[in-house]
Amino acid sequence: MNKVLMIGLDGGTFTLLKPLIEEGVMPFLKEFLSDGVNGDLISTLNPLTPPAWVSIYTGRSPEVHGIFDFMRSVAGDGKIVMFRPNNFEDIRCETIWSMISRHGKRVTTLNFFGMSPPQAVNGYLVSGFTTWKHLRSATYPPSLFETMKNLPNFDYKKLGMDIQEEKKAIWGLQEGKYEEWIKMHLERDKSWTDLLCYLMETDPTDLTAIVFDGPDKLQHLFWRYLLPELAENNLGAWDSQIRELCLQYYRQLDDSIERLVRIAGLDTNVIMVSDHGFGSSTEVVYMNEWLAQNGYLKWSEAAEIDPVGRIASDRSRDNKAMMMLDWNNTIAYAKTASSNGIFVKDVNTFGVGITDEEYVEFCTKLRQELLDYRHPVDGGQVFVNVYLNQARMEGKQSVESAPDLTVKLRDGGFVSILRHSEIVRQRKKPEGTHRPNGIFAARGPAIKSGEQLKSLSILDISPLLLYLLDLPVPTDLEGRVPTEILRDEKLINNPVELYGVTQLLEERTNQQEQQISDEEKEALLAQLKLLGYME
Amino acid sequence: MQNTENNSTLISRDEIESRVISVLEEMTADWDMDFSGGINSQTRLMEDLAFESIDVVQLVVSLEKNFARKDIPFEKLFMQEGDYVDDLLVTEVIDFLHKHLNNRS
Repeated sequence: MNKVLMIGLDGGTFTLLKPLIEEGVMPFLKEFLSDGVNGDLISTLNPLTPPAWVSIYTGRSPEVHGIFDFMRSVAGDGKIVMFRPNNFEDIRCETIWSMISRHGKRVTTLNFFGMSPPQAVNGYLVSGFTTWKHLRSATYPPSLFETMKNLPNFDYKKLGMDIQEEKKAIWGLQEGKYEEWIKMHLERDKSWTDLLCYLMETDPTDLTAIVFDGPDKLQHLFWRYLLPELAENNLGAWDSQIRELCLQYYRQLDDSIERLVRIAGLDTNVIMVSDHGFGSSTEVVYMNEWLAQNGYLKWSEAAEIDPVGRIASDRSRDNKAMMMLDWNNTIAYAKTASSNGIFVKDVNTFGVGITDEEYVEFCTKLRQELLDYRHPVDGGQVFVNVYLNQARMEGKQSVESAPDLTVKLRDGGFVSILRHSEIVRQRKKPEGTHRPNGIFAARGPAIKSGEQLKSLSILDISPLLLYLLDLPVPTDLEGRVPTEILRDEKLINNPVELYGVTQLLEERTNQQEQQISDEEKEALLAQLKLLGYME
Repeated sequence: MQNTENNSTLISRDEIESRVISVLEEMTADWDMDFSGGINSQTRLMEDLAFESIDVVQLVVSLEKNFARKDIPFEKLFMQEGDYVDDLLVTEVIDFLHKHLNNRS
């Protein structure tokens, strides 16, 4: 039977992993890469965790699956009044977990963004980005949560993600808290590994998939300690201690990967992916300040100047950031620091804004002004590309949460939504930020050995997983099976089969109702057992 | 348990109270709280149940699922000037739902 193990490294990048391999920090990864194939995996247009992971597990782009950011906004009374985290019910496409389940194969999927409330799968599912207080309602089947609670030498609470703590990767963290913060991620990733090892040993499934989210969090804050050429500038004893603790994280990650691959066995095809890469950010670009200085946005009297060069502050928590805008006199705005998106107020939603007839001309003009903007000191182009919302530009209906314009900054970073007197401010120290080039690596009986690949697309992962499980690839997936990674005999014996389409949303709703019924049955059976009516 | 509501059918306050309390009991089952005694209409979300903003968000998701409605303007209940309200009684959640589920906005 063909089995697949997919290991996801949030923010994994060869820019860092290869130097760590050279330093001897990740010996198993070195062996894994040399035995199989590897290359870059190109992320979504805005290389961000939610759209990218959802593209990996749906095989569809954000314009189709509808996830562009961590949060989505709620408008009311002519302004943005609330943000809510995107969840599974916001994803408009079928997941690969569902496709595999529909074909009677079994899946275990742990710690992926956006899988709560949990989807009914033929196997096990625990959503990521969930606080421990809500893990019960992020786990399928319900009995798995009880298993997690009762596992010996295992604290399920350590699986949980404290969202307020994680945001410190963006807001900044007091230096005195660095060690504690790194240790928290060490413990969490180890807990996910322990849980997955338990599940693989007790009830292996056809597809097993996990995300380790620690790399992204550590790299945001500690990039200057991790990348060898930057770390050379941080030579103090305390700096070295922080670097060593970070390296301990990557040693443990290497050990976790090895544990999972060993349990999976030699007959399992293993693929390793990341949602996006990483690089240095050297400046803060105040997007809303640019819009203000160019007449598209007006700050409210409550809007304070950002004193420290952050892209979002803890003031933006609890939806405060949108209180900084004078909504009656604002036409375009950036609402989060993560989407790099500019949103144009639609007159139909906000009462004040741009009409459908004005939309194309307005966005075209705004895009050109952004591209024409030059840094006042060095004269360089700050917005190196600006992407329009193609659906809306063509007069079609767009996914509700899609930005109208998406900017790409010259240092690859994310915009700041805060207020400042200047549009661009130099960072005192470089910080880690996302890049489009993530990682792809694969090893196993179906995979070629020792080859360096040209880039793959993040959209190719779902087709590849289906193919490796001997399942047909739905024709409406956007990527392809990357046949260049496969051994010739595998392709001859099992040619790629393109067949059928993915499940529609309405079908998923029916399935969810069936899931409830199954949950009720399970609860009833458990109660009957408790009462002694059943063995 | 998920139920599909027919917008034209009125849903009683008692029924809403029972379901809201059930949602809250399920949500807080693993929380190791100091709060003792059962959840009732006079329970305070923040002071008694130690709700944080993420818990409010989760409650909204659970209530939407339970009542099979995604169009309830929960921001009017939970938000004030861009921030979450300081505290809320369970009975206020029930009243709010009673008003909006029965389309008497």
